[in-house]
Amino acid sequence: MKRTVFILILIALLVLLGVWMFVLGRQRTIVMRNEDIDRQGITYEAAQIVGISFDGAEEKEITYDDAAIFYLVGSSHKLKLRVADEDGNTLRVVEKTIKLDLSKNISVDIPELLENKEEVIKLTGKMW
Amino acid sequence: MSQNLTFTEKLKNFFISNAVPILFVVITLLAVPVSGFSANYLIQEMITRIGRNSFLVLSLLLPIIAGMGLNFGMVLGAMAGQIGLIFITDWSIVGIPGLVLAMLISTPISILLGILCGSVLNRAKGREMATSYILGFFINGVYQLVVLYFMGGIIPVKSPSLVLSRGYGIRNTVALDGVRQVFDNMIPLKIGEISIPLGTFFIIALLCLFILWFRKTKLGQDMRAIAQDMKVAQSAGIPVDRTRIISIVISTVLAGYGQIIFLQNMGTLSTYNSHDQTGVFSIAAILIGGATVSRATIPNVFIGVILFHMMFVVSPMAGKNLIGQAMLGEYFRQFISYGIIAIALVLHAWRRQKDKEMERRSLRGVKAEKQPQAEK
Amino acid sequence: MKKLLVLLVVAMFSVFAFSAAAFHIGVVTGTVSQSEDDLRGAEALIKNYGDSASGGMITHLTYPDNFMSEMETTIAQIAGLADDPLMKAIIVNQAVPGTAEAFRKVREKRPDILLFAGEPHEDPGVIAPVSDIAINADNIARGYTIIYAAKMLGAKTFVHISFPRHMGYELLSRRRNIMEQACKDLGLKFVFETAPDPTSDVGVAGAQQFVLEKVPAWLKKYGQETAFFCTNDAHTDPLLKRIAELGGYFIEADLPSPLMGYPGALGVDLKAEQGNWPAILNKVEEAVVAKGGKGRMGTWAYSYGYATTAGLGEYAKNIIEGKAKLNNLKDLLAAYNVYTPGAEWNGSNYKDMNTGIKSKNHFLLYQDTYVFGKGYLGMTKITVPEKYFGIK
Repeated sequence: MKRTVFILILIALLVLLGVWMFVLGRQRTIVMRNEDIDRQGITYEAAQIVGISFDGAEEKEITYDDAAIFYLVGSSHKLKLRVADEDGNTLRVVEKTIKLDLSKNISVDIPELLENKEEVIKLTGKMW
Repeated sequence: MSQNLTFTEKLKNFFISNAVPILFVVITLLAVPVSGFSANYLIQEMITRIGRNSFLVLSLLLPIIAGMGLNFGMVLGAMAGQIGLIFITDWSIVGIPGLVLAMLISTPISILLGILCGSVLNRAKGREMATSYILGFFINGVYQLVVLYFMGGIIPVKSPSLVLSRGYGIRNTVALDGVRQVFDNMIPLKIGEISIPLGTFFIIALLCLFILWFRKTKLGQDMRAIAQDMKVAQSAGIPVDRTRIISIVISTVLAGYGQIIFLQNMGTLSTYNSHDQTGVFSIAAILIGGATVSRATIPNVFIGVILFHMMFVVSPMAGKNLIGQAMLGEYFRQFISYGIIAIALVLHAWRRQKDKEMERRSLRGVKAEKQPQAEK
Repeated sequence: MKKLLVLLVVAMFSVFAFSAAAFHIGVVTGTVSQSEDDLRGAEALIKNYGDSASGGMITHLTYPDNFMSEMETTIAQIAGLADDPLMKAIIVNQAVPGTAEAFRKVREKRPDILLFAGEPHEDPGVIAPVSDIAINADNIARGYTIIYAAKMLGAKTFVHISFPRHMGYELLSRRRNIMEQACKDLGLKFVFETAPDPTSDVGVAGAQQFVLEKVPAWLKKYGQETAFFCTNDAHTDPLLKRIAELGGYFIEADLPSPLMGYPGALGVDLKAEQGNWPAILNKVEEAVVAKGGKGRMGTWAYSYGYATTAGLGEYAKNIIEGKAKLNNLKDLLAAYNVYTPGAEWNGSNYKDMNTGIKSKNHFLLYQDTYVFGKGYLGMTKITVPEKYFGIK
């Protein structure tokens, strides 16, 4: 009896450890798209060049109508967006805090993100 | 046994009992200069391979202690480890949490397979090695069925980079980008040009300590008693069958972890083939390290890994430089590396015979001294 | 024993003593039993630039035949090349599983080495980020060009022969759909015919027998102006045999090469011409014309595997010597052309279907179609309409 209880508790603990590892190690795939988009009749125009950097990492530059993939672990991230014109002159720099849930694949439209005035942005996407 | 042996006899005994490692040291010493590799490269490669393979080879020790011979059934554990890795890749769990989770997933599978393997081996006492070898093929079939047909269908695996586009079955290579070498780089250390996978070494050291400790426990003592004589152990009240199963279960679970460590270093899982050579190569390594079917120590493991893999690294280049054609270099490697496995097994058999002869002789000597009246 | 010793000394001497070339290029291919053409490409490079063991430029190695189980060896072979301080580029063709990991290893130690992957087996998303350039055969564009060529030759119907297992492969089923759409757009009738899978219980012999018996019936059913295409190498042999005898068209094989199907179908002995592609082409052409297949049967003049090994080697050399730029399609194709005189190449960047992201260093290439008794068709000059690249 005591043995069974011990084993059950052990299994429960291991399952908990598994869940904890899942949350801790979950990697989100984020596709940042720089395309013109329509949201309820309003068109958000994409910038000519956008430089994207998460958590102070090296910047990835994408042009108009292009996209880039980022892999992030953990839920809270600092995002820095540098908007530039065709010749590469920086027009403005936007910094945001991004909160992610446990979704695995997240697609972000940069023009929409730039319009968003909030400091902290929650992003959600597809679970699988 | 050896109290009244002359020096030459002792020397002869040393050579006989260490014939395999000595042969390998000689071959390696010949092949290294021919290969033209730099010392730095070889040292780095050996350190990497110790980190990569030792855990797998160490998992063979327990069944040897329990007198069950070389556990070809470790392939079962390797498959369980791979299933764990497939799941964490699908869920995209990265870093150390990913590997820990993979180990957690592999454990129950390994335990089940280990119990199965142990029960079968209990019915085939004395023929454990051949039985476990064939059992490996059987479970390989089950593994393929599960991975090729059930995953993506009955078992939910969703990532398009994992599942074949027909909707079920796992692709034949799985990139382990997220968990690549995370144990190795857990504690970064670089001496000169050579990087040392200290994290992995730490885990391997823990396992060595575990094995040393385990030998002294009641269970470990029981296993040794069973290895000595099963009938005597049985009459002494040791649950023989159960203990044997436990030794296989532990070995299988460790093999699963070993395969995860192996693959995190490799960074790529070849879904249907990664486990193919695990058993044979690990066993070859431990035999080359001087172990026998009935006696194996931790130093055997490390010596074996170094010698076996040194041969693996240098033989293709050595072959190419000797013969002058790339393709023949590759065939030379196959010839050498599979040849040495064969030699190791043959030498092992020869040595066992010599051991028996010596035992018989010394037994006769002891009997002659102590119980002269018992003769005739 | 003495001989062996001499050999040993010579080998050691040759390893250490000569290093005339300013840099080395490592080439890793399969062996003759797995992929002969790839290996012949490496031999062509050695012929031109010398073996590094005797003062030349090329270090040639092979990966294991059963590369799926011996990945550890593949990785060690490729990564081991980086131990040579003169090594400046590594070319792997075909880039079997393990190549990506080996490339990562090389990168960590020697970021200056150029890493080229020909025909990668690993996913584009895995291999492309770790290599400097990755090359695949352009099955997407060919889905259109093959139909276009069939029309040029005068075909009215296009028969696509395959079976369920192959249609389970993503690229093959995608090409089939592209072909169907192209047929619709160019005014051909598209027919899908099933032939037995040679790996099933009927075996290669059974599958070939089926094709031998079926082609006359198909020709009767669809008329003489019918072009055939099959996805399986084993089906190619009997198909070519019947087309040469009875009529119909054959544009090119799944992986086209004068060696694909023709020698077996027409009984051409090519032992003397081994590795000499123009001579092989000539001899096969003679045989095809003699059997009456003039103007109806085509191929790529040079094997893709051969051209990729040799072309990538040449490209690497040009880059190191400062004569070409990395990831410049024009320079890349120029390097290919060195080994395929007369045959033009064309290609495009690989685009991921799921994300729509264009890979800057992953190229899809195809060669001009050569029709026996007629010459090159100029397929590389055709622009494939953008919409075909979006067909799934």
